[in-house]
Amino acid sequence: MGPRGESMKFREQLPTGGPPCPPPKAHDGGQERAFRFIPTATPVAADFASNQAKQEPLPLGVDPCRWASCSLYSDMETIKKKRLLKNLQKFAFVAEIKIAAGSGLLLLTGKHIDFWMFETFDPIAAIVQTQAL
Amino acid sequence: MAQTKIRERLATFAQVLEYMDGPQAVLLDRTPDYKIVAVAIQRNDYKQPFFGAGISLGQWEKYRRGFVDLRFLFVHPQHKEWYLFDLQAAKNKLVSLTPVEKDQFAEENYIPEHGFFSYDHSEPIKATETDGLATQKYNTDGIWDLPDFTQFYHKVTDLYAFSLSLKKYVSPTVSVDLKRKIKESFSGHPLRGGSSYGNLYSGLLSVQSLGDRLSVGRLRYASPGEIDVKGRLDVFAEVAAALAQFSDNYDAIKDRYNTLYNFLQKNKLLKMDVEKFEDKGSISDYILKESNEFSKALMIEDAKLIYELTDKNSLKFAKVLLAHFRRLDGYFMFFAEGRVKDPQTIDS
Repeated sequence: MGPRGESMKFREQLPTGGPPCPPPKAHDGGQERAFRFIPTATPVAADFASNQAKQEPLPLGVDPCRWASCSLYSDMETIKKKRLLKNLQKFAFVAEIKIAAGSGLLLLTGKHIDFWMFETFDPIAAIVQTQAL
Repeated sequence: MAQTKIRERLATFAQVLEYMDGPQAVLLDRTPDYKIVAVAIQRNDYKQPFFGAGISLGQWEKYRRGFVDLRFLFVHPQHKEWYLFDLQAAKNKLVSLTPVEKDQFAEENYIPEHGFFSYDHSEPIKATETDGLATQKYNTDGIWDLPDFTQFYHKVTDLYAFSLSLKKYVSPTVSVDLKRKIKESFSGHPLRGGSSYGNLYSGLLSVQSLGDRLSVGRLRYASPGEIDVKGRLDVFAEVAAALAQFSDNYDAIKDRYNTLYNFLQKNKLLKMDVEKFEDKGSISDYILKESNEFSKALMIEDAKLIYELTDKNSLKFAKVLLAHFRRLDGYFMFFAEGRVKDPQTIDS
């Protein structure tokens, strides 16, 4: 593995031909606590798939690389705050995960994390706990 | 949800505000004073459905600066118009809008709950003309009650508004209408004491735009504590220079103040409506002479301009200077008492 895991394969197909994806600022140092909105109490791997993997069309104003990432938050307070938006109230649960170093590339923007998982990373195995919102 | 109009309206996509696996809130532009803030919603007939509200630039600025939450923009949008749109259907950044009513369904299913502010966004808001303001930091010490913070902030605000208004009045980029309002603030009050001076300063405050208005950046209520305010660098510099002059020559300036104040008091002019003052003769000449000396002691560079703005009425001119002194004096006392120290201006 290179300094950012350059030789690792990603879990999802990432866009090519444009700017580097994941961006150079992303790191593979892991994240002790990360939180992901999930729809049910029993998460499945698909709950961690990006919209690109779900073959959703790329929206206006969104970078294709980011469209292929999984959104996480760095703390529970932020999750609660985001639920003030009605569209995110469809997620009735949150999964706390622990991302070990070398699991994928992470880009932190404020409290939001874009996560590009390596193919060796199993999001379900990384779940520490699941709780209702 | 009822669709009220068939006519198509368009807006230009500006930016994503909130992101979670995709855009959750976005901003669109219709005109320079018409923006649409929108949130992602659940709706089967659109691929990427959003519900938006037509807000003014002023509302956007208030939101951007954290004065109001997102819900407020949806409940009280300036233009009183709400829209549905499909972000996926946008072409060349142009989004087709469908006007709708804000009904009970929208209230329950689309409009955000209270407490989501601009600083909660995942995405940084793109720069606007109000960026680039400087920060004035004050370190506080000693015991402060909440009224002390209020009093200090009012002094800073009044001094800032006074200086900024004079700068705006001579700026070629400021509209005639705004200059008229500044002039009215200086000359349109009777200045008989009490609230009429408050009216002068509230008038000066009201002519400031959100982009250059002073705002609290940070307040740490402790001993020692910290107060940060944001505003224009050049105005902070002028207030700092005025404070330095005041501090270095306090006794001389106070003597000048007392001379002018006592003269007005002796001649029962303090409570006289300035419009009723007969602005000619020896009394008027004396007031003008003393006021000019007083403004020199205060090192007010814009004394001539203030005289013009007060309709070249010597009593009005004198009363405005006296009021300015009292605010500067109040501001200075916080420093003299050791409760505020080491003011620092940080350029953005």
